[in-house]
Amino acid sequence: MTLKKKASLADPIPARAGVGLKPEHYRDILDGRPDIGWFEVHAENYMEKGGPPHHYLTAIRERYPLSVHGVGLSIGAAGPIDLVHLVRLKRVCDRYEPALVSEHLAWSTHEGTFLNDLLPVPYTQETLGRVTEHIDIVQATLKRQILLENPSTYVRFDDSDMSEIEFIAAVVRSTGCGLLLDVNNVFVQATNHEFDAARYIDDFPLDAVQEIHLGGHAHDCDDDGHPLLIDSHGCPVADPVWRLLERVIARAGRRPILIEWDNDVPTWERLHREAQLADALLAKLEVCNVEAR
Amino acid sequence: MSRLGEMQREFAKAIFDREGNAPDGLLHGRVAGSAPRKRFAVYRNNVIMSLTDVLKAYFPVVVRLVGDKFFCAMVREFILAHPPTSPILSRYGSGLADFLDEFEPVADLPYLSDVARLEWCQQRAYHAGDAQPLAPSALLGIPEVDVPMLRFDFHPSIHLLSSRHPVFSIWRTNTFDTDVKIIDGSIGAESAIVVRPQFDVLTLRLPEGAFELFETLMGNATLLSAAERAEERNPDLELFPALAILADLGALVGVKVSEAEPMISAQSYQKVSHERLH
Repeated sequence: MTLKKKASLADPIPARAGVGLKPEHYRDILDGRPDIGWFEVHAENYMEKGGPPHHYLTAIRERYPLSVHGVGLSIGAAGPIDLVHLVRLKRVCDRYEPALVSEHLAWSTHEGTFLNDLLPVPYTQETLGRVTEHIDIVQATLKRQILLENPSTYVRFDDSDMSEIEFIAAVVRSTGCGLLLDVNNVFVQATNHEFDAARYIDDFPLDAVQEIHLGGHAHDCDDDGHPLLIDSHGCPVADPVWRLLERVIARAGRRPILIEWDNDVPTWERLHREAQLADALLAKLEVCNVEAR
Repeated sequence: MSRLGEMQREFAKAIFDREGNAPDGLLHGRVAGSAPRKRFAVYRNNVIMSLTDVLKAYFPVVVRLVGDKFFCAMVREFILAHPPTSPILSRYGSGLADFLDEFEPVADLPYLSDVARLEWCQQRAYHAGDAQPLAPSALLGIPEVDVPMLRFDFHPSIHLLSSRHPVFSIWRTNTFDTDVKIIDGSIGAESAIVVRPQFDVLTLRLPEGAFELFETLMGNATLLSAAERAEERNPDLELFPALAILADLGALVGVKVSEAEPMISAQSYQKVSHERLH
């Protein structure tokens, strides 16, 4: 007989590192019970009726806090929110009682076609109206606050008439949603669109940030030979992204930090080490704070 | 349509544009007026490559049969013609087998689409609902008189496939053998059952007539009517070894007995009830 301690809804996501849960690591985690703060799953991977993914996630949820990250709601779509999909998300939340639920400032569905990428939106009053309306519906249906993640983008729209930060701050004011700050996305965009990443962090509504994402990016270049970074989630977190994270922590304080590594998935040990780096950085900053007092 | 809706329609259209053009007059690169072509191509690559990877994972034997490079080019055509309609990607690929039936470059591999069908059955079985299989012993000891009127409840993950080609043998050698065996065309038609009673998806070749037997039972028919249909296909099918396949695989979750019906001939009733369930 085994005693099971079910982590409850009251268990918040701790302000330390977690990782995105990959099927490749189910057994490592259940057999090894690694010391790690929490896990995050993509909601869409747990929307089928049964099978091993539900079995493993149930067992992992009994032992660790969980965050659910949606990648398919298409909050930035011009069309209406897919209610069928939203109900599926609600089922995932009811079943696994995640402490945090997040989605993206992006669109992925148009007239019934799902494009399987997080596509960019122009920052206009019209988009703001759609996004806030959609987040209101999502929060009312899920009966909880969601976090909205800042995007990584490769193009800009002729139509945009406000900055991304102005747009995000307006969404937070209107809907009361929280934010998920993806620091890699900030660095990717700062390179792609030639702005100062540190300044973006300083201007970002950090009070609303309840979770941080870190991931790896790939290098390419555009038609003009200008560097173009791709948010690939297929390699370790880059050094300048770690430095940007330090800036976020220095200003916002400790937050839950997630390592995303979705492609060319490494061994569990390698992924865990990346999370330990984030924990070490948090500890180092803590020491600095104490010394500064 | 709203301005945002028009923009997304143009964007989506350009993602699936064979010529690879970015949408006109909507986007720019680093600075206003700079060309967005390569930047826009990142989105197109993300969409096509991620869906290609999804299909590669679901159809490993099809990949092995046509080769990685050919598979990628082939499913690119499939993705452009049939993009996903749901954000749940575990359901993407249901139409690939039918697409292959019409895809001229693989016309000389007539078995390919049925291999894709078998792999799709496995993919669906993996994610199907869970249920506790009946212990194989549950069939033992059912009184002889009840046997013809048995009906069964099946595990939600069960799938049957009947092919004109040796689809099971092709799948098996390409899945398990280091040196792939040449499958002799004379093996002919094969049918298979796929089920996931617990964690693992199980795939088995069926004896001739068992497909008809199981398919009829799955339509909630009695064992008697299913046996009659199976007999039309294969008079020599041994009924109870065939049923034992279902029980041993864990494909059954319930069994019940219904009343005999007046239109049944006594002869056919006796024939089935004289068989033994062990």
